[in-house]
Amino acid sequence: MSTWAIILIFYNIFVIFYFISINSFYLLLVFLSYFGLRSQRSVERATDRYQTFHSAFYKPLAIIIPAYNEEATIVDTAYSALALKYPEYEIIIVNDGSRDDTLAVLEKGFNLKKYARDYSNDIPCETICGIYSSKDYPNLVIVDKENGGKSDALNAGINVSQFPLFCNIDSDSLIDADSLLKTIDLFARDWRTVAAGGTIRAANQCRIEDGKVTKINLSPKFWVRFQIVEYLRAFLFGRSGWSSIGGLMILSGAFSIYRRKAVVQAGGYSLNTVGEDMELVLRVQRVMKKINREYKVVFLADPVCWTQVPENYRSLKTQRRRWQRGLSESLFGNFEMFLNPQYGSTGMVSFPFFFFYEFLGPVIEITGYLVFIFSVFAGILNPPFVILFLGAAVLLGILLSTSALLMEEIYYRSYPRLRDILVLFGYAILENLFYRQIHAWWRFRGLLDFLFTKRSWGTVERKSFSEKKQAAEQES
Amino acid sequence: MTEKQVILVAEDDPGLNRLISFKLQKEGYQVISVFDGKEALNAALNENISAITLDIMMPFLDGIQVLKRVRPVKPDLPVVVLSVKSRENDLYQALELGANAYMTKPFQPEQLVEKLKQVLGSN
Amino acid sequence: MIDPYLRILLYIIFALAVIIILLLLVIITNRYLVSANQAKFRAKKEEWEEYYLNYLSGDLDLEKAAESIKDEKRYYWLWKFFGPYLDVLDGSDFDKTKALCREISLIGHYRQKLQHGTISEKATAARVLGALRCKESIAVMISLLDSKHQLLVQAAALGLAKSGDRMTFFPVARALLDNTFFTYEGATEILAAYGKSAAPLMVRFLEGETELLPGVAENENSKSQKKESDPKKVDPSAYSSVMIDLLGFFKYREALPTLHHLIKEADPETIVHILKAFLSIGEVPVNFDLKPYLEHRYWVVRNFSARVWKLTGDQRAIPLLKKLLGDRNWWVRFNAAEALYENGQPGMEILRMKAKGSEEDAAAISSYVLSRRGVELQA
Repeated sequence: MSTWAIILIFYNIFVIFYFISINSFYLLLVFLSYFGLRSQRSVERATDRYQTFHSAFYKPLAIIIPAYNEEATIVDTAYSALALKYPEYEIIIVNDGSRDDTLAVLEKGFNLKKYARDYSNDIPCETICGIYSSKDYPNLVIVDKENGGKSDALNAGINVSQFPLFCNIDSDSLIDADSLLKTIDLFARDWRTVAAGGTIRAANQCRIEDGKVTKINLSPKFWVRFQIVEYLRAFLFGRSGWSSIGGLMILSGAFSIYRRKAVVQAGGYSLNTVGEDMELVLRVQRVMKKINREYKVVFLADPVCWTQVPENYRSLKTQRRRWQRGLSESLFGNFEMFLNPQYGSTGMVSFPFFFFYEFLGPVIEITGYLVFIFSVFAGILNPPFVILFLGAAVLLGILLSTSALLMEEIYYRSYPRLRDILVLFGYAILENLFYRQIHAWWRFRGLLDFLFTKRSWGTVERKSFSEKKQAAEQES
Repeated sequence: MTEKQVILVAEDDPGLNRLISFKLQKEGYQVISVFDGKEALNAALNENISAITLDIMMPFLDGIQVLKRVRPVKPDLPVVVLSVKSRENDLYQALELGANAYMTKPFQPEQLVEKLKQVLGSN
Repeated sequence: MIDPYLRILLYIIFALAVIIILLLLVIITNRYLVSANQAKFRAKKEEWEEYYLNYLSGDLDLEKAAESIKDEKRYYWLWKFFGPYLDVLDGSDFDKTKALCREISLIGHYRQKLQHGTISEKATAARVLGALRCKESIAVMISLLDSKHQLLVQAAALGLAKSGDRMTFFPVARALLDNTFFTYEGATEILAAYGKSAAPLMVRFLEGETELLPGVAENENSKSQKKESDPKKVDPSAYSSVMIDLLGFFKYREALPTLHHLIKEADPETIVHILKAFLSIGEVPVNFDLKPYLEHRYWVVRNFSARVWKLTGDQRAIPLLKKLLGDRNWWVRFNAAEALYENGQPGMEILRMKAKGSEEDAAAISSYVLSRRGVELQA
């Protein structure tokens, strides 16, 4: 047999092995998260939610919202943040040198006046031109600064706030008071908690009134539906599972809460990556380890943050390419955690998992398909085998998605009609027949971006922070 | 006055709302029940009511906001606010805004009824 | 003959398809079952509500009410029904509700669960018995405080706090701060459920009766040595801070002399807690001298001192407040300016003067506070 044939055979075996291992992991995650969710439920039952909500003892919180060119939506965002109920908090909107009338719109809407507020220099950031407070809403603070990108804006917000906790919310995200409280509760119940996050759901085509989601509708949009299934998988069993073994590596930038001190010690958000949320979670863990302080990064499935997800092919593609690049940058920026027992489950289990299966995943998937097809033509694999194998792969994917749908049903039942879940099931099937493959291709491109594109080391990213706008801009 | 006095009960907990309404009805009052701030404001401004029991923690608009908007329009309407003990600042704020009396939870519904009678009587 | 690999694959495919269909069926039936269940529960609640309200207003006696509300199979539903009432009611209505719960064996059921249930069931039982302010279960709940499951310790702590027996206050405080990962805030929140009745005990502890807290007094020396190497192990001063916060929360005026005594020797963090307590209580101790704290090296102390000033109205402190207008920390400057404003005309005069003065920080904060309060600044 020629060497090529041998290589092909080995590669085929490797792909099959890879496939079996990744799906075993996923199935394991499903089981872990099932138990994790159950135990969260029993905590719910036994805990006095009522008491926490009305608690007189709390850690004050800063909600930091970075904004760039958001004149159309920033006032609504501010109102929805102001509608939250929390004993003591301030809202810090950081205007990252917008070119449009973001600042003017805020000035008009909230009766701003400049004020001599101090801010620390705990984390280096671009020049802050001015800090304004609202005469009508004393807990609303606007920071006007020179453009520096989203991470820089967040760092500026951290500098301005002196409260022990801060919450990072995207400008097009909506969160309700209960979700905020439930997440913050984690910090009160466990001093080791340095970061926490909740579930992100797609708010597209849901009814939104006064900054709250009042009716949950299943979006009729094709691309949104795939994402809904994806997010259910990612949060209900992905993060849930990882969190239950203490190996959580990502908290969504759309909604996450941090202990300010820990983030300052870690040096703030990195300016060198597009995946600043994941990168920060990893780096905070490393730093905590270095200073020998016990830490916990927790995911709570119950609190929900609603956000707008891309609705068309172009914006979704752009987003996913960027995510893969961000993932790669975060992994390589913190590579010392790889298989490092010092970092516990994160180092020994999740980091390698993310490296082999999420980072390298698209490469192996794409080459896997190609090699399979080639092997068939070369006579090394027989068609029935390939067909059956791919059939099993598709079914396994559907099984995983259906498990997520089941967990959604048992624990949330957010979608009012049974029909909605059945539609999502349909999309779960469709997902494995074509969305997955396209998605793998996008991620592959993202990986190439990471490897070959000149990285933006310290250069300024003149992009809107809203996902939708970002994608729209990149298209133009 | 042979006409029944109408009390607006604004409380988001349905069980508690029913309890208060029931007790008031027993005392001979007519009751309008609302379960959130928006409904409370609406009813307070548009219905012919004699008094309000106003919970502070309610969805959409809290009791403070409702009071702020009702007082200028109906300065003499008796209002008794209800809230949790640890949120006493809310209660002081409410009193400053013109609430006539307050009660903290946990509480005795009888006492709430008494307070209402008092504020109605002094009108 | 089919290749063995193919056969394996076929079996796998078949198994997967079956599992998927099963899951789908579970989803569908679950939805129907749950909706049906929810509808049933709502109907039951309405039915029970009728009887319950009549019972509370005296139209129905205990036996009749118990007969109508009983449900031996669904204690959890009963708890969901009564729970909200138990949390908000007090006095005779609460007592009547509790009597009813006893009569329908709700209390009995959960006492059983507390002793013999799973971890999750015990935790729920503790919650229920706490809401019912059940004193009979105190012994069992105290034993749960030593559990290695944080959930149980927490649930037992809350249950004990709600039952209000102040003799359990110190064991609970100890369990929360020592046996769980709770922060001080989290622990204080639970301990607050004890209510004012625990206040006298707290004062005694602060006065020096540390033996009230089992274990802390003896180990105090070793614990303070541990503090450096293991910063998160509980130290005795943590207990003091928690109690000071609670005394403030309960607005326990009688604690003022003790707090006055303590603040003189306290470390900066404790001073802050004490000042916060003064603010909550709304009063300062008699003959309390604020001046040293206005000049303290720790900015948080200076900050709170400025806020406490309005409770003293001590005119002799005015020059210090004036000095604080130029403090290096913004919050201190702000609160000092606010304090001066609260002082009426003389304070406002000082602010007006400073606003036009040459010290940048003081000028900025003075004009900010004045304009915020709507005071016109003459050119």
